[in-house]
Amino acid sequence: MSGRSAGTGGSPFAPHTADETAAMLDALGVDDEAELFDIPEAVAFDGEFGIPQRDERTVRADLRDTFARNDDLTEFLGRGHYSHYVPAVVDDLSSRSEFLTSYTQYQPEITQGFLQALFEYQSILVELTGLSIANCSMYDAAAALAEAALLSDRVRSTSGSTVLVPEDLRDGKRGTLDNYVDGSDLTVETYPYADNTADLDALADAVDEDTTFVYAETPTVTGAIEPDLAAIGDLADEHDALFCVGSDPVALSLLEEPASVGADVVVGEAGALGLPASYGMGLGLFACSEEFLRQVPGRLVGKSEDADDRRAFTLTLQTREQHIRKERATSNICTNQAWVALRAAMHAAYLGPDGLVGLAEDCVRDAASVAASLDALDGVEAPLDDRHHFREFTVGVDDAPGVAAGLEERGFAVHVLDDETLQVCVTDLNVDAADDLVAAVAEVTA
Amino acid sequence: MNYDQARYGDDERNEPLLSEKDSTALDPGEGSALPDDLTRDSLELPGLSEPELARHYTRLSQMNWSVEAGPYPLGSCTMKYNPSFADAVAADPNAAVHPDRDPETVQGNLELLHGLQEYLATIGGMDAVTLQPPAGAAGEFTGIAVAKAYHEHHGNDKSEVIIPASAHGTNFATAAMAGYDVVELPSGEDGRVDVEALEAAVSEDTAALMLTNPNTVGLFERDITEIADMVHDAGGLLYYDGANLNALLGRARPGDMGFDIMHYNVHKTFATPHGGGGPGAGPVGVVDELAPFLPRPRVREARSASNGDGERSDPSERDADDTATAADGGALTGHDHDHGHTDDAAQDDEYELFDPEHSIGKVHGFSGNWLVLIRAYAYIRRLGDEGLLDASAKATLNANYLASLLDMEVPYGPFHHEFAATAGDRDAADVAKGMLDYGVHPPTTKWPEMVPEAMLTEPTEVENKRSLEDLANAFNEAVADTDEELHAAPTKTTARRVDQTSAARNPRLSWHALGEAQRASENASGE
Repeated sequence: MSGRSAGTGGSPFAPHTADETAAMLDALGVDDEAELFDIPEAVAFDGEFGIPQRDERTVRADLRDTFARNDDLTEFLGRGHYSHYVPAVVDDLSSRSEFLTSYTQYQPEITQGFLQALFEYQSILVELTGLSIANCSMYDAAAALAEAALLSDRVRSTSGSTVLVPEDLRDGKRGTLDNYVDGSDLTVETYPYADNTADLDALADAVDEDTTFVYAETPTVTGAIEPDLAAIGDLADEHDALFCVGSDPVALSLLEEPASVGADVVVGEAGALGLPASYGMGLGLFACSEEFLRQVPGRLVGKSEDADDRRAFTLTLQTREQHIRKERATSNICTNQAWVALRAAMHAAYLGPDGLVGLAEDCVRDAASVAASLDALDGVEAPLDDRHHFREFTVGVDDAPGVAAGLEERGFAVHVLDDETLQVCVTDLNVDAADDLVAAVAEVTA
Repeated sequence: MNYDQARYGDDERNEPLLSEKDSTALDPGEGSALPDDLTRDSLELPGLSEPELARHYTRLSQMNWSVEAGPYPLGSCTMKYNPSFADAVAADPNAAVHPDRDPETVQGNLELLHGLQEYLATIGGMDAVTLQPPAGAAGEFTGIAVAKAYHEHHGNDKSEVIIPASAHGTNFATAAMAGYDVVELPSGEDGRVDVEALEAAVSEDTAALMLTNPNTVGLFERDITEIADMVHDAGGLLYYDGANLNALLGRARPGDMGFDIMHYNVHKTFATPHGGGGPGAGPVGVVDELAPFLPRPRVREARSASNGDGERSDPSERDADDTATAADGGALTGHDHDHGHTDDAAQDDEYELFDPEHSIGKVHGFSGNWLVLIRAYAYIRRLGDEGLLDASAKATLNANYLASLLDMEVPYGPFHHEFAATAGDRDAADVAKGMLDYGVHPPTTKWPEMVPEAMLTEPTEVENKRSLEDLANAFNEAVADTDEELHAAPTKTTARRVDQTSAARNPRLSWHALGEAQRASENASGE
C-alpha cells in the first residue's frame, strides 16, 4: 500500500484527501480550485506541457540510466574544483532534515542549531585566514572574488578604479568578475605570470595610484604555490589598494596565513572540504579584516544573548542586506550556500588540525611525487616551473590533445591547457591510481 | 499544539561550541615538505572524534526548525516539502563528476541539463534557458545583464529599471549592481501596478520593468498585457521574478504574458531543499531575441546528430560560429513559444556545449548548483502535467482556506498562493514571536510595506486541512495575546527572545571574538 502518493492526477506531495478538498472548497464557497484563480483568459494556459506523471521508482530508474551514460573515468582534474574524501558521517549528519529542509534564520529563537553551525563555520575560516570576519558563504570562488572587487569599490572609492588580477585566471572567475564589475566604475586589468606565479617586476609596473584591488592566488590555477605573497601585499599596500588572496581551506591549513602577509580579503573555494565532485557546484569563501565590517556582502552570524541572558546566535548587521537596504545593499545575495558551509565545517571538525594539515601535506608530497614520476618518462616534463605545488601541476608533452585522448581511452581524465601542456591534479581520491596514470602516460607517449 | 524545542546546555549557554569541546594548536610547518617561509606558524582548531561529532550536530539539528518538523509558511519563500527520492537521485555516484570533463564523456549530465532547459522553457513559455545562475538573486542579475547586453548590442541608450515598491529587495539591489538607476513604482490602490503611474514612469530610458506575478501579496497583475505593451513600446524589456511561479504552474506562463526574461527559483517552485539558507538555483529563461546573450556555455543536441547540414532550426541555439541573423533591435513584440518540446530523450541522443553568439560570459565559476538542478529535474518528472497543475491548485486553495480561518484582516484580494494579513494595531514581529510557541514557524513579517504590520503567509500545497487549522490557531492565539505575553514570547524554543541590538552593536562573529570579550571582562574584573 503506497498511500495517496501512488495515485495519479495530482501532486503526490499535496496531502489532501478528496473529502478534505471538498470541505475546504465548500468553506470558501467555490466549486473547484480553478475558481480561485484571477487570471485573464487572454493569458491563461491550458496546463498541457506534455510531461507525463511518473512514479518514484520510474524516475529513479530513468535517472540512474541517464547518469550511467557518463563514462567511468578516474579524474585527475582540479583547476578550481577540488574534492577530497568526504567521510560518511558528514553525509549522514548534513542530510538530517532539520538542517536540509530549513531556510535562512529569520527567527533566531527557533533556529539556534543552524546559526551555531554557521557561527562555527565562520570561526574556522577566521582561524584559517587570520582575518577577523568571515561571512556564512557566497555562491562559489568566482562570486566571492567578484564581491571582493566590488567591496574595494565601496571602501576605497576615491583612490582608484582598476582591479588587477593574474593573466592566468580560471575563465569562470574572470568571466564572473567581469560581469559583476560591469555596473560599477571598476575596470579589470591583468598582470603577467612568470614561471606560473606572479611576475613581481611586471606587477610593480602595473600597480599604480589608480589600482584599487590586487588579487593573487595561492595555489595558483596550475597548482603553483606563490613564493612571495608578502611582496605582492606590500605592492598593494604601497598604493593603498586592497590585497585579496585566493585559496581554499585545505591549502590554508598549511600555507602562510593570509593575514600575516597583509591580505585584506581572502576568497576561494571552501567546497574543497565537505563537498564531493559535483560538476562545479561550490562554496564561496569570503573573509575580510574588521575595518570592512559594515561593507561585507552576504549574511553574518553573531553571538548575542536571549531574554534569560543565555548565549544565543543570530543573523546580524542585516542593514547591509538587500531585504533592508534594497538598492543600497552591499550585495544582492539572498539565498547562499549555507548547507555546503555546514558540510565544510563538519569535515573540518572531523579532520581536526592534525588531519587537515596532514591532508594538505599530502597534497604537496603527492603532487611532487607524481610529477617526478611523469618527469622521468621520455618526452614528458613535469612540472613546467620551478615552484612548489599543491595538488596539481603542469605537464609538457608533444601532443597534449592526443595524449589526453589516449588517456581517456585508458580510463583517465586530465586537463588539456594547450597543444603541448596538460595539467594533472592529485588528491587522496585518485592518488592510488597515480601509478596507473603514469604507466598510461608512458604508453601513450611511447 | 503542545511544543517544546530541544534545549541542551546549562544556564549560560546551549550545546557548547566545537571550540569549547576541543581546541588543538599545532605548528603546520613542522616536518613539512615545504620550506619554512611558505608555511604558517600555527593553527588552532577543534578536532572531534566521530561519536562526538555525531552528537554535536545531532543536537544542533534538534535545535532547528525545518519543513519536515512542521509548517514553515514564510511568504515568498515557498517552503514546500522536499521529497526524499530527489535527494537519492542527486546522490548517484555516477553524477559526481568534475566540471572540466570532456563533454563527450559526461553525456548523462548533459542529457539532464538539456532536459531541464527544455522543461523550464516549456513551463515558463520561454524559448531558451540557462541553468548557470546559482540562486534567485543571481538569476535576476543574469537576466538584467542579458537585458543590458541586448540594449548595448542594439545601441539602445538605457539607464533605468522600473521596480514596484512591493518587489523583493533583491530586485532593487540587482538593478543597482548592474549599474542602472532604480525607478520605484508606487502600488495602486488595489495593490497592483498602477498603470497610470507606470505610464508616467516609462520612458525611452527604460531598460526593463521587473515584475513579480502574482505580486508579493499574491495578486495577479490583471493588466499584464497592457503593461507589457507599454514597456515594449518604449523599447524596454519585461523581466519576470519567478519567486511566485508556484501559483501559476500550468495556469499561466510568463512568456504568454509578454515577459521577455524570467528567472526560476527552482528551490521554491520545484521543491529542492533550502539547506538552512541555500543552495538554490536561479535558471533564466528568455525569448529568442535574447538567447544569443545568455551565459556560456549552454547545452544543445549535438549538431551532427540533430542536423546534418550544420544549420540550426532553433534560433535560440545559434552559436558564435553560426551565420548571425539576430533580431534587428527595437521593441520586442509577439513571440512564438511553440517549442517543439519532447519529454523523453532517447538514450542515444548526443549533446554538446556551445557558446551563445553574443554571450554575456559567465555568472558562476562553472555550471551552477548541479545538485539542486538534478533534484528539480527529478521533481518535474515525478509530478508531470497533472502534478504541477495540482501544486498550484492546492497551494492556492491552502492560502485561501488558511486566510478564511484567521481573526485578522487580509486587505487585498483575490490572492493566490500567498496573502499578507495585517496584525493591525499589534506589532507583526511580536505576533510572530508568539506563534513560535505553538509549534509552527511564523510567516514573513513587516513586508511588503504596502500592508501595515504585514504577515506574508505562504502555506504551500504540502499542508493538509488539519495542519492549516493548527496553523490558523497559532495565528489567532498569538494575535489575541496581550502585549506583555507577546513581549515575553517565545518561551518554548531553544532560545528565548534574542537581543538583536546587542548583536549588532557589539559584533562577535567568531569564537575568537568570544575569547577576546571574555579575556577583556576577566582582565577588567581582575583589576
